[in-house]
This record gives sequence, structure tokens and C-alpha cells, in this order.
Amino acid sequence: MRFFITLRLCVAVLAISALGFSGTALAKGDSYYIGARSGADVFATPNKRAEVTSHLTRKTSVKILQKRKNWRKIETLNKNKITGWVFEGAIRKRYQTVKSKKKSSFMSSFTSFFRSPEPTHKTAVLGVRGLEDVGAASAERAATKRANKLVKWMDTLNVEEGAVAAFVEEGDLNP
Amino acid sequence: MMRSLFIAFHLIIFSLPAHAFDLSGFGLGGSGVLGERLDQASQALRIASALIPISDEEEIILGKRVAARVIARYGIEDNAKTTYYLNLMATAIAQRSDRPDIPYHVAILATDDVNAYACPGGYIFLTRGVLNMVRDEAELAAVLAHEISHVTERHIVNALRNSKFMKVSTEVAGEAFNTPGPLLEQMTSFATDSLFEGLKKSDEYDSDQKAVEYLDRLGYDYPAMFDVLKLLDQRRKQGATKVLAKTHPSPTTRTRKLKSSAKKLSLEKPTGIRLPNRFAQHINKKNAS
Repeated sequence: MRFFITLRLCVAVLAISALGFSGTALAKGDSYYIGARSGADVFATPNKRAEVTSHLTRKTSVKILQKRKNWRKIETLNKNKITGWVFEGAIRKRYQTVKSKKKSSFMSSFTSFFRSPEPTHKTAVLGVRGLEDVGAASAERAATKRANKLVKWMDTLNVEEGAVAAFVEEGDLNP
Repeated sequence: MMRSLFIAFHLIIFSLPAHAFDLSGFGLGGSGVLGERLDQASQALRIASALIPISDEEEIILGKRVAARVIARYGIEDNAKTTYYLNLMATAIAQRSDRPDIPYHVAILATDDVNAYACPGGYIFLTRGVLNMVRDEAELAAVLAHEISHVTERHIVNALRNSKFMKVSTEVAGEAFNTPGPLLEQMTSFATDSLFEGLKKSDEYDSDQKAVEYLDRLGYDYPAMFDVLKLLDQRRKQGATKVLAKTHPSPTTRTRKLKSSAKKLSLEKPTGIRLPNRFAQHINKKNAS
């Protein structure tokens, strides 16, 4: 009888430790911020023609309340608690590193065997997905720079008045 | 002038006496006369803000930013000979358009999708797909004339003026163009979205009609515009105009509308000038595809 009680207790401890980890990871790991360089407008409804109720500056921490197509209903994590709809593209996920090892009790060492490492609030050292994110942002910046250069090149595509007149004449068009 | 009107409007609104709003009839439980008046004032403000002009210089600043986004999406075809030819033709058409006083620049987008874009301020893009579709210079001129008319009629700028972004004071709107910031960023996004998601159908019909007018003024065979619409319909059936089909009315509807509106125009007899040989000299379809 005692043996069964001890066995049940062990199973319960293991289950609680495993569940405890998964809850922590979801709550602390999935935080978001405004990543767009110019910040982001907060709309009253998920529609670009809707009223702009506020503007969030870059790096404002937010949590996502609801998703609808390319829109995310967010709430800021600061005192103001601004709520509204923001374009999905303006929001970035904040990636966090694993906690460094530290001395712990026998019980925590035992349960940690069943856990993945917990997130901390240290400066981000990006994982694979994070590196992809930075790579995309960098590529976007590079593409914008290249595109701006090409617009400047377009500005040089001026044709001389004489050339236009010759073009019209050659084609027997109305001068 | 418009800015003066805008300021004058605000002065009038704020100088109205309180009894003009009939406050005595305003109870806590209902909107009453005040609510109605406020609605009217809001409506008037919307109309007034729609009158805020965007100068040519401001439109070009906006156009550069939108053009950069179009280029970032598709990339540019490096073909100096064809690009020069397109710019010659665009300038010739623009000189006979209703807005000849701004520079027009044309470039080729590196995509086989059949489409074309006109950014504010005269930045025009034709895709490689369009160049492969058209068969002579008159048809190419028809496509260019259609895009140029989006600029001459300020379709995107008008959409922007009627949007919420311009419901700010003239000073703020003016400042947005001088010092790039969130407001200019929003305007750029709005204009780019309008471009990629499509303008109003009425704007497209309007541009078709204007294109016919411009072709006629320059002496090209204006029925080329109808031929382009036929080609678009064929390509649509082949599934080659996926983006265009989302952003434009169907070619059959456009043809029907254009036929009825062309009757009202005082057009010359079709000239028959198509210039297929000159077109073939400048557009190498094998290289383009």
C-alpha cells in the first residue's frame, strides 16, 4: 500500500514539474515589441482606413490579444495600456536566451532533468529563428538602399527635347 | 489659396457663438442639435481637409519613396536601349497630356507578370511581361498613356487627400514632406497599398479614356487601346495576369465602358500608325523573356 502511495506521489511531482516548465516558457518567451523603424499606428479596427487611435514608438513592448489576417490586436505592456490593432509587419518577436546553470537543490536538479532550460531577461543572443529575423531585416534594409539608388538612377533618365522631336518626326506622328 | 480657405474655415467654426449649437436642447441622454451640428462640422472639416493641396514637389518626394518600394519588390531590368526608348515615348506622350510640366521616368520591372504601375510624381514601371505581350509601338504607347494618365489625373494623390492621413493641419502635412517621419511613412504606405491593391474602378475607366485621347493627340492609331484590352483578356484566360486581374476591372468591362465613353470624345479618324518595325528594333522579345 505504502509503495503505491509513494509511486503516485513521484508521478505527481514529475507531472507538476513538466507542466510547470511549459507554462513558464509560453508566458515569458513569447513577448513582442514594435520593430518597425518608424513605429506603428494603432487602429481602432483591423482596417487600414480605420481611425488611428495612437502611435507606438519603436521598441514598445506589447502583448498580442487577438489575430485577424495581417492584423494583430495588441496591448502595450507599459503603464498606458494602449489597446488597438496594428499591422502584423510592425511587430517583432523578442527572443530570449537560456538561463546559465547555477547551483540547486537535489530536487530541482532531479526535476530539471525533465525540463528544457528556462528563459531569462538577458540581452538576446539569437537562436536560429532569431538569426533569420535579423537576416530578413538586414536584407530589407539593403534592398531599400539599392532601390533608393535605382530611383536616383531613374531621375537621370531624362531625354532631350531634340531627341523627342526627332522620335516624333521619325514615326510620322503629330509634331 | 486652399490653405487660406482651410484656415478661414477653422476661424469661422471656432468663432460661432455657443447658442448657435442650441445648447438648451442638449440633454444628457441624447445627441440633440449639438450632435447634429458637430456631425455637420465634422463633415465640413473632412471636405475642407480634402482640399489641402499637395504640390508637384511634394508629390515627387512621395513618388520617389513609392517607386523605391516597387523596385524593392520586383527589381529593375538592366536594359539601357529599351529603357531609353520607353522614356522617349513617355516624354512624347506626356508633352501632349494634360500635365506636361513634370518629368516622367520609365523603367522595366524584372517580372514576367503582365502589369504596369504609375507612382505619384511621374515614376512609371512596365513589367517585362507587358513588353512581351504588346505587338507594336502603338500598343506599347497605349499602355504608357494609360499609366501616364494616372499621374496626370493624380489618382493616387487624390485618394491620399481623401484619406485620414491628410485630416491634419496644413502645417503638419507640409512638415511631413520636409522632414521624413511617421506621417510621410504612413502616406508612402498608403500610396503603395493603393498601387498594389488597385485604384478605384472609375479611375481605371478614366485612365483608359484619357489614354485614347493622348494616343489621338500624338497621332498613334488609338484603336490600339482596344487591342491591348483584347490581349489582356487573352492573357487573363491563360492566367498570366494574376496581379492585374485583382487590381483592375475585367478587360471586357473596360472595353465596354471605353467604347461608350470614346463616342463622346471628339477624336480624329484612326491614323493607322502602329510602327511595328521601330518597336521590333528596340524591344528584343527573346531577351526580354
